[in-house]
Amino acid sequence: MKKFILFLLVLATPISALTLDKTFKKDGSLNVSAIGNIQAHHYENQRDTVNLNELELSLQSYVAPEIRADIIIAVHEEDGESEIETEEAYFTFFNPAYSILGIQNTPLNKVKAKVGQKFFAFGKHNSLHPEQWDTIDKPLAFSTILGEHTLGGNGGEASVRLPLPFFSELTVGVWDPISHEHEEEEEEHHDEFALSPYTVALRLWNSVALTEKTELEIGLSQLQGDEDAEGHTSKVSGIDVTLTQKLGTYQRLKLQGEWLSTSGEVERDGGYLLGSYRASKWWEFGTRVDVLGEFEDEEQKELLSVYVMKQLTEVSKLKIQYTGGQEDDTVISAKIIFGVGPHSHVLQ
Amino acid sequence: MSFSRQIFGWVLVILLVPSALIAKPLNVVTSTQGLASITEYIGGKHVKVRALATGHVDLHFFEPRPSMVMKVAKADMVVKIGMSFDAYVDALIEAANNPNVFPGNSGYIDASVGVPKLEVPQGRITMGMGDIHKEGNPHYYVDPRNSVYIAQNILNGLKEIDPNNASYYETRFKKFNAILERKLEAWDKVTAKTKGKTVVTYHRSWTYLLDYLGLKLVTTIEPLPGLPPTPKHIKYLTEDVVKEDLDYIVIATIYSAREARKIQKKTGAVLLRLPITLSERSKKEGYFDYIDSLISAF
Repeated sequence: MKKFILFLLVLATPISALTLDKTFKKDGSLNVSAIGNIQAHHYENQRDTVNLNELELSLQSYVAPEIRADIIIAVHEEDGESEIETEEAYFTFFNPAYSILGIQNTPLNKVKAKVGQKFFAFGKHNSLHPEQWDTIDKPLAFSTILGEHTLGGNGGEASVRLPLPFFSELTVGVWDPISHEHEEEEEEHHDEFALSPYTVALRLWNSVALTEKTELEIGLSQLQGDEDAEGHTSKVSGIDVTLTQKLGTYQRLKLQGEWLSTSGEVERDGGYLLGSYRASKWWEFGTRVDVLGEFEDEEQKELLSVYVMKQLTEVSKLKIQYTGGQEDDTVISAKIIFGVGPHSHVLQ
Repeated sequence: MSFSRQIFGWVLVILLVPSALIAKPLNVVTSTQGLASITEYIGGKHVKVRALATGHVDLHFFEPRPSMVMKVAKADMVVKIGMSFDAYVDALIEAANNPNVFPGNSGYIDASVGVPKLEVPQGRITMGMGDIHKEGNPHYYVDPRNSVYIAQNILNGLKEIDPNNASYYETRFKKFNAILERKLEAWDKVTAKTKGKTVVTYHRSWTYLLDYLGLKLVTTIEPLPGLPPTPKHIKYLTEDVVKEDLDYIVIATIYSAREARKIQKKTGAVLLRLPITLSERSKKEGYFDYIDSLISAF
């Protein structure tokens, strides 16, 4: 993987400077941006922590008019130690049928492909980086069932917008999922879901503008792996619904729900319901209800989180979150997110 | 030629001629209503223009929605402000996967090309400088002189995409320039009046307009670009800045006027609340009406 990243880096810089015309060079130059987040947690029954949770460096450049390279490297704390990790490193081929095969004016030209190391297109939450999350932490169902790390892998995916009168995008990917060492230990206890190599990821993302100011998104996702040695087929299915209502220049109401269910060696389900209100340019308030289904001797678990977000500048914000539930789950967290560069605008 | 062949020939002519005469207008998507208006000036009957950000929006905080992808997917041309101001347009282009408007292709128009940029940061950019853009201040479209560059970039794109109507677009561009010349002459009366006068603005949204009007910026209500006024800065504004001989306080309607009113009370300066962009409500009005409304306020 390191060689691949080096290859991307080497390729990204000179090609964009040498091969493209004057206009393209202007728009296709290498974009470098950095995003960091510092978190502090106060636990009811544990030691308080403050750390630079993650520093993310993003490099993005068109390497040809219809091919772009994206590299996202993260430095984050793992069990008290700093780790450098490649979160994503991939090429996007906007029209591979033409740029690779030379085919023009066919339905194949509508297909977009991404190849490399990438987060899976699964649901609303999985493909986002921590600074893009509404809340400070991951929803309970995601962190418990799928693991603390975002599901990602090496491979490729193809997306096509379906010929419908509203936005509808189908993405199909084949991936070799990345496993994390500390998660493997947990897998031995069978309390965390594990995907086998050659996992197929499917996502259908639909969005309809109900009015000029109201938008409804419905997504269906599935990850399916091979049969393992014991004949288990690991599978995760998910559904997500998001309703966004614009109320003013800055005011916006968002309701989002996501549910996932696994089958195979580990069978468990859970989800969250999130409501957020952006009251002004500077303030946002929100709440999230998490539900995690029962598993073996564990009972169903519910958590309630409330957060407030203060936008400090266009690219920096402070979030404070209270999470409480049964047992010893009370946590008060604060997070400062800051960014430099053009990384902040993405279609989520 | 047999009778049946003649009939076939006439049917073919009847079918083909109207489609050639009634050519479909080009689909153009712009990031703002102001750019949409200039595109309509140049493209006339050969373009159908739709803006992504409509109404009173703050482009710094604009959130693109998936349904906007559909507009970009059908576009022959996309016009953006550029200078990292409306970067959401690129996210929509990526999701739309429409080769016509990929960066570098003829349907991708960065309207800022050629515009003489102001407040371009020199040296290393740090977070201590506030939310600044490495390319310079991106609010160039409020200076009417820069509309020539915008219109020229749009003209270049239209001519490349639709060469059959190149002369039509050229004629419209010349008309646009003629209107601008007349307007600039009329606005000279205002610039003569405003030259050398002092102003406080909320954000650096009006740098280019101040440059055109010859106004001198004393300070901004924001301590740094994108940062809300801090108590320390408000103290500076209400104790030190008010001692200046201040003529105008200019703030965009999307910003709070609280601090501006405090300064106005102590100085007697004229408080102007101006629209940050050509809004949906004034859709029937064009770019020149918008600039007129800005300049005539002084």
